[in-house]
Amino acid sequence: MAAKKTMTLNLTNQEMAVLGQLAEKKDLSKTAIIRQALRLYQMVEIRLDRGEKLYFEDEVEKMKSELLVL
Amino acid sequence: MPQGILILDRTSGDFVQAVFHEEVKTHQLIEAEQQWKPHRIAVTQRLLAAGVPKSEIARKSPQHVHWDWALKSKCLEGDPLALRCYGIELNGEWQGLAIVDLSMHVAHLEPDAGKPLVYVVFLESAPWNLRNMVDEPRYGRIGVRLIEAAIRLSMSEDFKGRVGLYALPQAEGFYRKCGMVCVEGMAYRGMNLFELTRDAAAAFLEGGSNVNTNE
Repeated sequence: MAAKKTMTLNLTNQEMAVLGQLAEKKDLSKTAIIRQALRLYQMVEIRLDRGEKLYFEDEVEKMKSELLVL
Repeated sequence: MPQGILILDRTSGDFVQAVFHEEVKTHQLIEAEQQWKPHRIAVTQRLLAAGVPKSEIARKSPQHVHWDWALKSKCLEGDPLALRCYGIELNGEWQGLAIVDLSMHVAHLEPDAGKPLVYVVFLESAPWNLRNMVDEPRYGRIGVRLIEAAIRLSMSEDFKGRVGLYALPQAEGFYRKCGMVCVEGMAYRGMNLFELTRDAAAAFLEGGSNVNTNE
């Protein structure tokens, strides 16, 4: 397993609450949620850099909207 | 860091110490492809020599005979955190490889539906280890060890051992022996989705990894 480093993360109460909700919903530790978020963010960036686009699709409304990542 | 791992030497019947690489790089995938490709070509040559018509070659060949790990290595460009490639090596030869995704897939089976799992994108044992490629396979338990590694990774990522994958039809029996369950209604391009639940993962690690398979 790759070596890990420790850091302090400063979050607002609301951000901490969301982190807690996601951790409970996904049955993951808060650290695992942050790591998962980082993986997803990087994957989106890699694919956008390749020229791909990211969409959300509403199958009921037949609507597709492109997600702009800043 | 490479670690020791036991695989079965089918010639002697003994377990031998191989090397488990938890991080396989692009140049190593190209090296593996250089080692494996001649054996894949030999499968086709044998079928042709046996008089199998060209139109029947694809149907009679192993379903993954066209795989190319040099091409698959392209998905690792940019060093995505979401993808891991690991493999087993012995005496300078790659005995098995797997690429897994840690971020884009969730479980469908209860009680963990919607929760993340380790998704196996590709998993392959070297052609010289497979009964449908050669008459006398050299090493065994490669596929089992690669699945075991996926489970251990799932545990270490707090995914509770959950693993998922789309199985080639020829490989379904192997994954069932590993304790994986077909998820109904999720077939894609002729392949069924299989998942290993947290309980099945625990059972696998408690002794199921000794499951007797031909892989």
